[in-house]
Amino acid sequence: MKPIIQLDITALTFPDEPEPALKNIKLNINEGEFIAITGGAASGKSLLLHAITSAAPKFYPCELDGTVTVANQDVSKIPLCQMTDYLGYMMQEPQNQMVNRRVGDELAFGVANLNLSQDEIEYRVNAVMDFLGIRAFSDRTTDALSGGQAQKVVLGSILAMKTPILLLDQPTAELDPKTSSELYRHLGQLNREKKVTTLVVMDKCGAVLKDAHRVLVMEAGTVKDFLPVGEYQKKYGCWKTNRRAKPIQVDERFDVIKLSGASHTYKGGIIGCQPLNFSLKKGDFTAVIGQNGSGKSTMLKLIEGLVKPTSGSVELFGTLVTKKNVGELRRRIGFLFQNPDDQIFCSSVRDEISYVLKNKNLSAQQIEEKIQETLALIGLKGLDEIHPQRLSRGQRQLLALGSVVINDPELIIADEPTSGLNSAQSQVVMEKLAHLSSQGVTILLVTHDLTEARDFANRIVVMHNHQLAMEFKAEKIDNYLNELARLELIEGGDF
Amino acid sequence: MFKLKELDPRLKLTWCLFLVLTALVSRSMLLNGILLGVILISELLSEKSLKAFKMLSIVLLIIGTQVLIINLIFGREGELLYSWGIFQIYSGFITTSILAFLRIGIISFSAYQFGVHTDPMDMAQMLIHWRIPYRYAMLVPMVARFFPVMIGEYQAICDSQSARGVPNDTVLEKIRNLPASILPLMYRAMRISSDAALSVELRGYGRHATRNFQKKINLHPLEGMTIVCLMIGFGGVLIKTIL
Amino acid sequence: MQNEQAIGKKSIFKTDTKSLIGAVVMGIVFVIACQITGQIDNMLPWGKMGMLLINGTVWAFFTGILTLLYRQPGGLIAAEVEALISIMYTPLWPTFIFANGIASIWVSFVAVKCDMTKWSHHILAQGGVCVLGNAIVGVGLVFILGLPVGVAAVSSLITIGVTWPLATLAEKKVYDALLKSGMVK
Repeated sequence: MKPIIQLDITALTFPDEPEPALKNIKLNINEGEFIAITGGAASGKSLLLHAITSAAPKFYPCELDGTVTVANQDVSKIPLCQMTDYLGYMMQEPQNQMVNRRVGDELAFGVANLNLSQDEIEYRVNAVMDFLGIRAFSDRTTDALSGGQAQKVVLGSILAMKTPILLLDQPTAELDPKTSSELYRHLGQLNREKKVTTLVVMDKCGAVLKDAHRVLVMEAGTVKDFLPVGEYQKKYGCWKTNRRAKPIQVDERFDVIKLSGASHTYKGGIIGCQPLNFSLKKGDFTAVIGQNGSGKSTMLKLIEGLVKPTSGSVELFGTLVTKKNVGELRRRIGFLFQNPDDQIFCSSVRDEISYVLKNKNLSAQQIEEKIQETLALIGLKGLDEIHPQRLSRGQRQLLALGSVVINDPELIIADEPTSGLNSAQSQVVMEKLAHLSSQGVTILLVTHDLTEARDFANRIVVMHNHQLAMEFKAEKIDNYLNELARLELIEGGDF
Repeated sequence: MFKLKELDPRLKLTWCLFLVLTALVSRSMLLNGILLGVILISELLSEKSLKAFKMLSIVLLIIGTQVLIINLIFGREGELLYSWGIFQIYSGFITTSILAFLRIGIISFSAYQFGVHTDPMDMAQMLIHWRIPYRYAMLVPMVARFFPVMIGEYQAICDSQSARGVPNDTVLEKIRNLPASILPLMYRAMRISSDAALSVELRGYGRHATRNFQKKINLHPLEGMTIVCLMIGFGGVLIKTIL
Repeated sequence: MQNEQAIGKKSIFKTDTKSLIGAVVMGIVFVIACQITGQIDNMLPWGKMGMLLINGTVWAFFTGILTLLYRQPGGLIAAEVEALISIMYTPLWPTFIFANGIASIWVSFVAVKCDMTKWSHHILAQGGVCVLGNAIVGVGLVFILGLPVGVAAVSSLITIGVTWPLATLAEKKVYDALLKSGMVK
């Protein structure tokens, strides 16, 4: 097989950074190969793709010492907009990559830029819609698509350009397991049938390895290993999370959260969730799982007091939630959101983490002690004065956790806190939550990741079709695999 | 029956400009009244309802009332009707306010009608016809695309800050906590635009001087003639006003 | 792609795709910010009299900061996005087209002459934005809303007096914060 991508990078260095972000990389990728790329936080996985596309240094200014060739062409000599002859590139958040209002226009965007005839544009768009099974929503607006649908549209727009190489950076990071495996099935099919060379930065171990030929392991900006999948699995195994070390002490006498037949219907009659009967005991660590659109977010909004129950009632700490007392009740709760950027706004880590202490009657010394204690807990000590936007996504999520923990919450509600993070980053966030749980903090975790739910929670609650479908002890999960497969939360009885 | 959406964007823009400029130039209440009526009738004929104007009508009603009150208190045109200390009411406030009301109605409804009934892709093609490079013209559909996305982002940020306990009940709290909602939105906007820019570049944006479209705009001869008539009409209004 | 890199440190122009799309998305943030502050103003006594002081401050701040970030034509694009979307909530939109455009060009001229590191640079930039912008809107108050000239003039002067210092403060603080964040090179 002849190589289609050749990298010989001595160093790739960003301005004002003392160390190169990529160094000593020499590797060939053959035509028709399917490569999975993995590695820890800031190991250079995404940057490697940027170097191949030539976005680094053309889009992200930096200094590149070395050469990158694609199809025997030196990419430094090809303008970024002409890279369409060689490769297509897809990122993590599909909503950021779509620039047209109508799905049909988005699918045609790339080919229309190539100045092809109207007939050819039509033909290619139709072929892509059939291949991905998205014809049904070709006239829909792009902002109305679910995460999975949007990711397919972005992929479709790239496929319509018929590039011989596909580069994908954590394409399933925000998708549920069913949608993820559907996307990987399409990628595998393209690789087998059309011989499209595919490089995927994988978020969490699993689905992608079924189709991959080799795995590239990155560490500290360089290639640590480049192995066939079999050897990789022997050497590294699949990523194993460390289970929580300490048992969870649940006080069965006291309900921290109690939903009694609480439901919510949005404007226009759209059902958020059907009447729910749910309680969370003091000290418990419960995981709520379910597909996108199963009603998990609405359930959280009901608990957070962001939407009113259409029927039934919501109690927090034994008190009925009303418009008057919701602010006071929220002060006892810490909320950790899927996207830390929705809450971070201060211009230093210190200011961000201590923001909630502003209205508390604490002395300067007490505040300082709390800041240092929290920074140590989340592993960001020494980064006090750094601007939060300079931190990695994983570090920003930890910062968000820190700004929650510093307020000593009795209950933490975490809405997919590891979405968009890789395995190592997810592990750090989950361990911090487990640590808090061991100190008696009650935790409600919403997640797509069954491994996380099994390894860290005490109880698992499943939502399906806007209602609670089942609940069981996390350690008994093996007894429920068939049922979970039926609800399409796992594939083939494993996860 | 005609559909505003199906008309060429150049005709719709000329119609909009004709209305706005005529409203600004003319001081005839009759002409302004007729123009406002034509906008409402064309909307009714095309869409069978005036629902699209509902929110805007409420806003204009509030602004119109403010204008009426200010003219009532400070207007000094016409004859003195009533006087109490420094507070004086002159007769001119009624005509000034009615004219202003008709004018803001025409200016707002005509522009809104153009915006609502013109596909952003058609607007981009119209700009390309006027020799604007497509890298710039295509920014119009991008505004239409990212507007709902950013509204959604803003909502998520508000929910997040509200759940986090950032106080937002009194006016003072709303002012003090503006950075808590605006700054994250700015940071998100920067990330989103950076991703979008890289994504479009790697899909060949700007590769050629021109690009193709799935659906093309086409100016019908009748539409061309209407554009000329509107221009002549405006010329007439202008001359009549000056003379 | 010849436009890929920003043209010189002191150039008015920056025509790369990142700046163009950034200006569009930030223009939408500009609209949202103006909407929020417009609502806040309307809850206050001066807002009920038609004087939008907080909204005016945010308008001046965004016009300045976006031009500093995206230069031209990005600054103009962001400013005009705000002006055109304002069709949905104000009949003064025709004046915004001119006010936003001229104010953005003014900031560009200041940014070419000054490196924007000192307070005086931001005071100068915002001075032009507030005076020019409010003068044009003042003309709109007379010709579109039909307000008496005296009322429009007093309203514009008060708005300039309040928004100039506040917008300067905001622009300097946020510009420094954005530079620190590393998101702006």
